Amino acid sequence: MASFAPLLGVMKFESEPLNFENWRRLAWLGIGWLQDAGGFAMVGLSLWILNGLINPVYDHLPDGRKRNRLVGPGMLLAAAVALTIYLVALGLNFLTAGDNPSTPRNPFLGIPLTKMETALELTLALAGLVAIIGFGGPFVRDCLRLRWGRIYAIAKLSFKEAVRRRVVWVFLSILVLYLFPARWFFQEKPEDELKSIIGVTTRGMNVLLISVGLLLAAFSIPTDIKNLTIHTIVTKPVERFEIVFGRFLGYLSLVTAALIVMTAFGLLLINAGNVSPEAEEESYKARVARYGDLEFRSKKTADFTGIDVGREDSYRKYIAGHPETSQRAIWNFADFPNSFTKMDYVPLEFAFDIYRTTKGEEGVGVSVSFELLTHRWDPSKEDEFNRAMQGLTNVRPEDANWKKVDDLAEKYGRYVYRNWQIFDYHTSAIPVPAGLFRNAAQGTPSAQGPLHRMKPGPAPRVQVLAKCETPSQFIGAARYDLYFLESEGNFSLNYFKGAFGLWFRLVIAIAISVACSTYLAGVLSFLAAMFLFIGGFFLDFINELARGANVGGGPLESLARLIKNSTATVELDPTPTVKTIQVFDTFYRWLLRRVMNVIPDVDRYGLTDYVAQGFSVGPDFILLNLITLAAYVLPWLVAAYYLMKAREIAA
Amino acid sequence: MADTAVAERTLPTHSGVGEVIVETRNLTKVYKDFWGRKKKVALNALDLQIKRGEIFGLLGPNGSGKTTTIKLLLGLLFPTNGEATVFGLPAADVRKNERIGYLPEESYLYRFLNAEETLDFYGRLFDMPAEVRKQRAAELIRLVGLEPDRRRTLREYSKGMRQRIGLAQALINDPDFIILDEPTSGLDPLGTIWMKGLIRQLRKQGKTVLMCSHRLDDVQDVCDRIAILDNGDLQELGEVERLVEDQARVEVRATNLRLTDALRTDLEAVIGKHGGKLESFGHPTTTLEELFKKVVEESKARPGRRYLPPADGNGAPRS
Repeated sequence: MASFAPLLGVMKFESEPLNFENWRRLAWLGIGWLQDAGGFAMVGLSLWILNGLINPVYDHLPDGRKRNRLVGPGMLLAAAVALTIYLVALGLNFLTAGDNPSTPRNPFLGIPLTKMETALELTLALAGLVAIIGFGGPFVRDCLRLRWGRIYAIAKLSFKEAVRRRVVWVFLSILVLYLFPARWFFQEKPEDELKSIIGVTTRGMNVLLISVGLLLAAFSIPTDIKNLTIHTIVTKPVERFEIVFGRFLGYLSLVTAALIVMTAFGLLLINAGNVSPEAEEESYKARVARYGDLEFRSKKTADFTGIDVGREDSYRKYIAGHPETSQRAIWNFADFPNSFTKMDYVPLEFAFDIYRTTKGEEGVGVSVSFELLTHRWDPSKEDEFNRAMQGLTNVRPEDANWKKVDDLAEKYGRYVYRNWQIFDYHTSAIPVPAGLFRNAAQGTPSAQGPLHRMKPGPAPRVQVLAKCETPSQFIGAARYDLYFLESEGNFSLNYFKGAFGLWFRLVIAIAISVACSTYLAGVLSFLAAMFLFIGGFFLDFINELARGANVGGGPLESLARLIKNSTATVELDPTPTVKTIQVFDTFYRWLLRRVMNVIPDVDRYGLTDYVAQGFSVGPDFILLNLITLAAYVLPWLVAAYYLMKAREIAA
Repeated sequence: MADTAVAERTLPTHSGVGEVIVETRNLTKVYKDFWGRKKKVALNALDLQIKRGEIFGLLGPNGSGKTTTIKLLLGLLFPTNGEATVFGLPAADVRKNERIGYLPEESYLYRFLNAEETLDFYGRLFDMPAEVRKQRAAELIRLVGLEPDRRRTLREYSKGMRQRIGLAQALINDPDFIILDEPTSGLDPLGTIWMKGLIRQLRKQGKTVLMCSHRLDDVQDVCDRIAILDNGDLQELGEVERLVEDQARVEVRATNLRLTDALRTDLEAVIGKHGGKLESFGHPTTTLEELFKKVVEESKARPGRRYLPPADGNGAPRS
C-alpha cells in the first residue's frame, strides 16, 4: 500500500490508506468482505452438507432418535436461505445488465449506483452473511468450548519444540545484517543512511522470520500425524481445533519473541551507531502529519485535474510554472488540531517532484509560492492585506517582525510565502503563523464561503494553494506531498510500532501455513503457503489481470497474439476463434478474481516505510490493519477447523 | 482425583457392576482409496460389549482388525457403518476421553521432553490444576520406576523406558477405562511381569482394561475375556478360562511323591479303571518367565553369584 518513493522524502501511497474518518470506505470494505467470505462460506457449506449426508455420523438420543452430528437443522436452514438469496441476486444481476448510462444514480456510501446495483450489492452481502452464519456457526459454538489451558499446553509444546530443536539459532543469522552495515555496500547520500539501515534490516527480518514461521507451521501437524504423536493428544479431551490454534499461537509467540529481540537489537545499533546528522534530520523522527484533500485548479480549464507529463508513474499530477499562471495545486484542510492555534508557528512540510522542460540554472531550484487562506478570508480586502504585508514577506519566526505577520494572519485569515526554492530529493518546510489557525478556528465554514472546492467534500477551514513560479518547469504533487506537521514523536517508539507491520505479516504466514497443514503434507503446506504469501506482493498485478486491465488480454488471447505475431495493442478481428478464446479468458478472469480473495494483501502491512521516512505510525492505523488482518485470517481458521474435524487422524 | 471429578460431572456415570463401558453395534470399517473405491474391509460388523471391571483381550494375526477396533473406539478413525459408544457417548465425542487412558503400541511421545515435562503436558490437556499435575506426575514416575531418569529427555530412553512413561501418560487422569495396545512390547521379562501385575492391580481398583497383544501368554495371564479376530471378522468371543479349557484331558497334580515305576503302574491302573489313558508322567516344568525372575532375584540378593559352566557341560551351577 505505502511504498518508499526513493527520490522524495514523503510517503507515497499507491492507494488511499485506511482511516476511521473515511467510514464509507470502511463500510464498503465490510460489504466486500461479506460478499467474498460469504461466497467461500457458501461453497464450504455446500461441500460440508454433501459430505455429512453421504457419510453421516449419528448420535443416538435418549428418546431413541438418531441425529446427524455433522449436519444440523440450523446448517441446512442457513444453506437453504442463503441459496435462495443468491438466486435473488442472480436475478438482480440480470436486471442490472439492463441499466444504461442514463439510468439515474444516487450515491450509496459515496459511490453513485443505480437502484438495482445497490440492491444487488446488498443482496449479495446478505446472502454472504447468512452463509457465514451457517458455516461459521458450528465454529463459533465449538470455540466456546475451547479451553485455554489445553491451548496453552500445545502452544508451549510448540515453543519448546522449536527451542529444543535449536531453530532459534537460525535467528542469529540476522546479526550478519548488523555486522556488515548497508553503507559498506550501497553508495548513498548521507540523509538516506538511516532509511537504508532500516530498509535492509527490516527486509532481512522479513525473510528470516517469515520463512522460519512458514516452515515451522507447515510441518508441525503433518509431523505429528506422521510420527503418530498426535494419537496421544487427540485421545485426550482435546478439541481438534485446539491443536490447530495451539500450534498457531505457539509458533506465533516464538517468532514474536524473536521479532521483539531483533527489533530491540536493531534499535540499539541505530542509537549506538554514528548516524549522520543529515539522516537524523530526515528520518530520526516520528512526524505526525495532518493531510488535506488535493485538487487542481486552472482558470482556463473548468475541470482541470492536473497535467499528465507522460511519466509511467501516474501517481502525481503536474502544474505548469510561470509567474502569470493560474494553475494551482490546492490542499483543503477541513479541520486541524486545536494545538495549532497555540504554537509559535506550524511547519508546513512538502516535497514535490520536479519535471523540467529546460535544464535551468545550476544550483537554483524551482520557485514555488504558497498562499494560505482561511474560510474567513474576505477577497475584497486583498489590497489592504497586501499593503499591510509590505516588507513582511518570507519573514522567519526568529525574526522580530514575526509577531506582526502572526497578527496579520489572524486578522485577515491569509498568509503568503513567495518563491521558495525547491529541489529534488529534499523535504522542505515553511513556517505558518499560528494566527492563521486562530482565525480559521472561528466560525463554521460553509460551501458558499471564499474557499470553494472543485470536488465534493466538507467545506475547508484552511486552504493551501501552491503555484510554480519558474517558467517552463512543472511541479508534480500528490495528496501526501504536503502536510502540516502536528508534532514529532519518539523515533524509538515509532520503530517498535513499525515492527507491527512485520508482525501482521507473520500472523498471515503462520495462519495460512497451519491451515494448509491440516489437510496437506508438510512440504505441500509450506509450498502452498509460500506461494500464496509471495503472491501477496504481486496482488496489484494479479488484480490488473483479473480485471482485464492489462494490455494484450487473457492467457489464450495473448497466446493467439503470439501465434499470429500481432502486437498487444491491436484489436483482434472478432472471428469465431477469437470470440471463443475471449470467453475462456473471461472465465479465467472470473477464476482469478476468486483466487485473488485467497491471496493476502501483504503489502498493506508494510509499516517500515513510515518509520524509514520518519513518519509516525498512528494507533488508529494499527487498529484498522488489525481488523483487516482478522478479517483475512478468520476464514482460514474456519477452513482449518472443518478440515481438521473431517480428518481421520489414523487413516 | 480432581480430573476424575470433572469427568464424572460431565459424563453419564453408572456404578453398578456389569455396566457396559464399551459397546459396538455392527461396527464396520472399510478402507477406501482417493476415488472412494473399496480397498480393504478392516473390520466387519463387530458386535461387542465390554463391562466395568473386565480385562478384555483382543487377539488376532496382523491385519485382523484389532488396532482398527481400538482406533474406532478412540475416534481416530470414523466407522464406515455401525456405531461404537464408550461410556454411552459416541466414539467421536471427545468428552469420553476424560475417563480414558490410552497406551499406543509404540510410545509415541515427544522425545525432546523429559518424563516430568511429558506428564505435565498431558496433565494440562486434562485441565488438571498445577498442584495436582505435579503430585500425580511424581506418583506415576515412581510407579513406573523412572524416578532416577525423570529429568532425562525421552530420546535418551530405551524402548522399555519409553513404554513405561507411555503407560504413565495413559494413567495421568486416573482413567476408568484403559486401552493398552501391545502393553508388553519392548519390555524385558521383569518389565513384562511388572506390567501384568499392574494390569491386575487396575482390575482390583475397578478399572476396565482393553488390551491387544501378540503375546498370547500375556493375554492368557491377565485377561478375563477375549475376542479373536481374523480378517476383520469376529471368530471367537468368551471367557479365557472357558475357551482354553481342554475338555478331553484331566490334569492331576500332587506333592511329596517320588517318580517310581510302582507309582506309574498304580496310576495307569486307576485311570484305566475309569476308561482313561495315562498320557504323561513326570515333573511339571516351570515357565521360563518364572526361571528368569528367580535368577534375577537371586542375583540381586547375592551380588557375588556368577554362573560358571561345568567341565562336563551339563549346565549345573557350581556355586
